[in-house]
Amino acid sequence: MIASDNIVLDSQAGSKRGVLSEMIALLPSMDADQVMDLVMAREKLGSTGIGHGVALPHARMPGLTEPVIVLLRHRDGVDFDAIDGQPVHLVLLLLVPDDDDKGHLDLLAQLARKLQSATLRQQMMAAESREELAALFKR
Amino acid sequence: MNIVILGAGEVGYNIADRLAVEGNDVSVVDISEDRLQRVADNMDVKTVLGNAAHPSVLQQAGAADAELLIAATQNDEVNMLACQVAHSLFHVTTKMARIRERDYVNQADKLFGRDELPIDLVISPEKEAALAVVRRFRVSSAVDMQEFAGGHISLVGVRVPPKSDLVGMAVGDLNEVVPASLPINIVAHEHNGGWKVPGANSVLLAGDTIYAALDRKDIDRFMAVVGLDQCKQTGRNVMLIGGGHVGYEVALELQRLGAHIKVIEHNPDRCQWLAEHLKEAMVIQGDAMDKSLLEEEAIAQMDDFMALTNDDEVNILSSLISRQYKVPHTVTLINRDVYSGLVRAIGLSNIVSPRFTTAASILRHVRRGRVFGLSTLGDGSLEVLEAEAMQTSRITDAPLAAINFPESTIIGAIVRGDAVIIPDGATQVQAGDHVVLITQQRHLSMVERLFEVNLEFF
Repeated sequence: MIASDNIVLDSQAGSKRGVLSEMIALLPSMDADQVMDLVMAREKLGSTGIGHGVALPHARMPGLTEPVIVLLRHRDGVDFDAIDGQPVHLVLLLLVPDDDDKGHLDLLAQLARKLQSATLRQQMMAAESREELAALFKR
Repeated sequence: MNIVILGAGEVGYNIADRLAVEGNDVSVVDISEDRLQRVADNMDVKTVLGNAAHPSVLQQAGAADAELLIAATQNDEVNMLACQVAHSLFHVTTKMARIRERDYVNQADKLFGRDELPIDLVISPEKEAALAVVRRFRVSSAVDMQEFAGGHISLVGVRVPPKSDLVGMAVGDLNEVVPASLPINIVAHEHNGGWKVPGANSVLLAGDTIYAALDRKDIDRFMAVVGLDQCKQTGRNVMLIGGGHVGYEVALELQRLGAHIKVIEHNPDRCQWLAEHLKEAMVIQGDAMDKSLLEEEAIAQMDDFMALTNDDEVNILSSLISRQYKVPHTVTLINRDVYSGLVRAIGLSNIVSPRFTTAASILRHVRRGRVFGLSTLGDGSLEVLEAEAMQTSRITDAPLAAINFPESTIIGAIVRGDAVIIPDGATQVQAGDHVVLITQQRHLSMVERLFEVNLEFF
């Protein structure tokens, strides 16, 4: 579900923007400015920091053929304007094709549901490599 | 949110203060150590000394992490260049610049944009103040008039006259004097200097100031119900003190509206310039505090008196002089915060403050959700928010009576398509509606949560 190449193991970024640019940098085939603009525009309408130190920023990307997920872990936590006001430690960026497919919503809901689990969040924080992190999301 | 503010003058200072109080990470850049010290002494922000357009200064201010840059130095060119540097080197998401020079502002469409100068919002405090003054002119028997939802909705502020039918009425009983065909909502009430959002039991007394939310086309009928006559719109005699940026903008617009204008300006060179650029106004060189000059220029025959100089003291004193001559309608421009409370106490109720209008128009871009308007009412403690209700936002969940609003919060009006709805508890907001809501400043962040979209919103 998440390629180990699409994981930032321990981000040092100091802001929402910093976190997102580290994640977007892992996607060399995409226009980084465009992704940033779309994701930030969505964030402005309402933060995707859903509490428990988790954020799920997302956007529709023109030209994409299938969903892309990037994961970032931040040990100290970073301010993401989350609904509970707490710093965010785990960020999952979800980019989906720009069509009306309801599957995107299911994917987002599935990720949000999965991250409700405190056990999973602890395992993610304890993982020692990107491969180990990716393995937690194997279907 | 990480925010960089360039310039610690009146505008920069006040915006920094508001944003810092709301818990944002703010840094303020200025070239004056004194101005920065004033900022550092009064608020919890980072300060950086230096030229606001220099890459190293912007870096030090944290531009690399910033979502918003507000360039509000005194210098248009520094502001524009700073936005370019912030964009090219630091990829700051949103950039706003204060630009005063008309020569630039008139070309805004072509100059600013993603592929031109990367400025998302041009801020012109003088232009905004001028617009506010002209709105006061258009509804001169009101103390204030603000427009929302593309002009569909008006918020009209009036002082209740002694013989008005409204005197002694509770807000909840207004249907006894206001016909059902004139839907209004009283959204703010001032009594003895204190402003609040009224409840059904609030009783209106002579001399109180109230704001009503209504359909714009109902303004004249509302004024008649209150017992205030609308002045004639054309051919009014206006004395305008100060021909600076604001004065000139106002004079241009009033000229267009067919007013007879006398501009009093002390600087001879500026007078020359004004005389060349204002074809139909009479430009007089002189001192606005010179009573004999004002008498010579027939102050007693004026319908409107507008004190719009850069100098608050001159504006306040000349406004008081105009009251002596019983000019029916006076507008006073106040730049500095310390005066705004004071002037109401000495009876000048029609105040325009560029600081308030500018801060509000910037802050609306900081709010989450799709916010189209933000402004202050009365002494600044009440705020008006115009926002679009979006799919999944909580405001659309249930009829208004069942939604958990913060205290002292009222929905003034809703625009759905082209229709204005003056809501009651049974009204349910729909996605796509523009909602005009009044609340206390301290509840604003709770209110904006109602308009935020849910996680599932793509």
